[in-house]
Amino acid sequence: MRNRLRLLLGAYGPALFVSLFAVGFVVTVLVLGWLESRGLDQRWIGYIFLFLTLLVFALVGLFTRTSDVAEYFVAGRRVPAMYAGMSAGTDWLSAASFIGLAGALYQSGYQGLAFVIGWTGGYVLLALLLAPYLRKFGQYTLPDFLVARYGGHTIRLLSAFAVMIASLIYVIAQVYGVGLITSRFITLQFEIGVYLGLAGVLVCSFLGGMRALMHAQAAQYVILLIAYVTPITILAFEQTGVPAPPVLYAQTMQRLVSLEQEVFNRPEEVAVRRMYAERAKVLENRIASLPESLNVERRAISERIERMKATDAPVRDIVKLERERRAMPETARAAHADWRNELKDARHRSVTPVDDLQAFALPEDASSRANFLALIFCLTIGTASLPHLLMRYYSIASVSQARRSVFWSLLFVVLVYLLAPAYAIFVKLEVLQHLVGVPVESLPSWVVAWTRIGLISIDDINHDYLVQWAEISISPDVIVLATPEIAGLPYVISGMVAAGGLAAALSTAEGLLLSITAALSHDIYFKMLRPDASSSWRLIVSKSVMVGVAIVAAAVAVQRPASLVDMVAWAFSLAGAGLFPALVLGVFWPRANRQGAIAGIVTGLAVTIYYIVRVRFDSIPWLGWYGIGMDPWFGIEAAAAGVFGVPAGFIVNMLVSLLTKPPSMESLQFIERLRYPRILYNRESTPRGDTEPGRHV
Amino acid sequence: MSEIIQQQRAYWRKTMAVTLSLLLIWFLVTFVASYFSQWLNQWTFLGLPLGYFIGAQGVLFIYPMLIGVYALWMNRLDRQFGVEEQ
Repeated sequence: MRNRLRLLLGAYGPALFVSLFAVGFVVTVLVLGWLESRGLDQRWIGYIFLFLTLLVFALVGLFTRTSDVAEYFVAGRRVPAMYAGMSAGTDWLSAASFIGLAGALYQSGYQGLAFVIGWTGGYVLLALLLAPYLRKFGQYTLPDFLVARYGGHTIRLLSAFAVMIASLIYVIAQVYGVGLITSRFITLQFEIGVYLGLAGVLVCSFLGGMRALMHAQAAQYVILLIAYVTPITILAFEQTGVPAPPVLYAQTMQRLVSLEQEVFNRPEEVAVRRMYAERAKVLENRIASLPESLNVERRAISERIERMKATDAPVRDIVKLERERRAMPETARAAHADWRNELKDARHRSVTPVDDLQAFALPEDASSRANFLALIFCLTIGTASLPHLLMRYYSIASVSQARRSVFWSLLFVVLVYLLAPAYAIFVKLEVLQHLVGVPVESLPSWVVAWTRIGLISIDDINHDYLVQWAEISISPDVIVLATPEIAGLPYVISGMVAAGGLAAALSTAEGLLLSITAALSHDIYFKMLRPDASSSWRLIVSKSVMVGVAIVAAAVAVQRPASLVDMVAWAFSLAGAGLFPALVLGVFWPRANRQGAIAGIVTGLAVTIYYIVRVRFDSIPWLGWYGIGMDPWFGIEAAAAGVFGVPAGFIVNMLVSLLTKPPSMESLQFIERLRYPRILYNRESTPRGDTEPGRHV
Repeated sequence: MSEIIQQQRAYWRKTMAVTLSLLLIWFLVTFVASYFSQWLNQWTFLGLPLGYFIGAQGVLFIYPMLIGVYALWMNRLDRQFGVEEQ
């Protein structure tokens, strides 16, 4: 009887778990909504949601705790396809997808579709070129695979480095997302929110590793999906009267575009844009005449303050000016950096905006089509080589299941992505209808709330005390989080969206932490430094490494180094340039050898890092580098740096391989074995998976 | 022995054919359609200009289909050539 129960649980357990969890989540939201109508404080709703999200992690971790290495890193290699797909989907859906995607579409309309296309198109490459072969190989990490194919410690060190740098940048972006959400909804300090979120993640990964991750992520998918679909459905219902998720938004899109064309051509908008163009010109001159211009500016502002004090101007204005004076840059270098940013902003606002349907027509840069394609390229390649995603395919039961599993994970991802443009469209419509033309004194309450934490700002440049489109600056990260407030929904829905965002950010952070940990503890410590370490000692090392990495990530994230989407795009470029050529050539081109792989990885990473650093940063103060900024090549932005790094990696890999000795017999046999799910000449009736090369646990 | 090797070679050739043909469709949808997006916008599909529709919704149907076809096709090929896992 007990055995039968177990079997039943084994077969239907995952589905049962997910559906029970969904019901539980909906009931919780309803109960909280009822409590809110009874006067429960908003702050408590925020706390409860945060607590619940973390509790799920902790409980799953507790129930699936393990001290077995294979269980810890690859969940015992017996996860069924659909369940693995669901959890890989959640692993994939990060803060960037949940918060950033709709934001990118809001900000740049058609141009933002590069993210939709790239992030889903990469799955095709993953499914066709990598997933089944990695599963056939079946060890623990990507460096394991590359070493088995090419051999040697150098390749392990290099690929572990590539894995770590890409994952670390990506995890910092997630942690940043956690800080953003907690600081708005739970009014915790940004820093405290970051550390609290990480603590929850650590409890889960710490105890259960990959196995805990599988279950926790399936549960989080439920939170994430409900949280993403509900607010936009209600907002769309208010606008269109159709009570269904707005997958078909064509009509609203047409309304939006005609409204955009009308608003953008209003005389006051044109005037405001001209004022920004003038400001840009002033800034340009000021930058050109540094360092004298800094003194001129400082004197000018002081004189103005003196004059105001003498003429009994309102104290508020004087205080404002004094604050401005204090915020003035101290040195010419700092002024250069500050003013460059202001100049960029002013230039951006001075151009006529394009409507959402217009493809590649950002007039300020003629290379927008090239950038669009380049970004798609980087994101697809990056998707197919992000280590935390690829590692998933080691944990699946068989090669054929691995093929199916990619299908399921993409399907779960697509469910979310289908609605991202709807968010952008409906929120923009709302902004154009109910924010543009409103007096600055009586802004909608959601605008006020987000202004307070600095993510929305209104700059009344023409002093007409009315809001113009060009005067609004909304951080794209706000769009999804603010939608419930824009739709006038009770706070509980905002809390739910925050919980969804947290689930997305934390689950991805967890997958990434696990992959960094594996690189450090498995590849570098166990395989290179101490091959004789016992398996329990290996796990102890892994877990301590994980805590260390988490702390580093949090410490960097609290510095807020760049915007969410930027950091994510860099991680993709780096992963793609470092790993993709070596992986794909390793599977499909027998002639690729160790020297080629090493040269390819080094070149790919070097080109990408060089490009990002020099195009994106003008100075890195803590290294003492100043004035290193350069003009982009062919107008390609730093986000798409991989478009140079990946081909460079491929070309160098192939050239060096051809110039050096062909790979050994061993590598050739390895490739041969990789190609067939079962080897025919082995003729033994093997239990699944046991013919794999090098399976010694 | 050599018969088995030949069979394996044939399996691999088929695999490459499947992979390459699906990748070709993928490339057309991803890069060629995006490149000509402006030109495609002269037609509308489900109320949206075609170029925009492909980027925003079309790919979200085509990509899962490509992967689904690959999984079914390859799993059948495995059985056909007797290289499936037991």
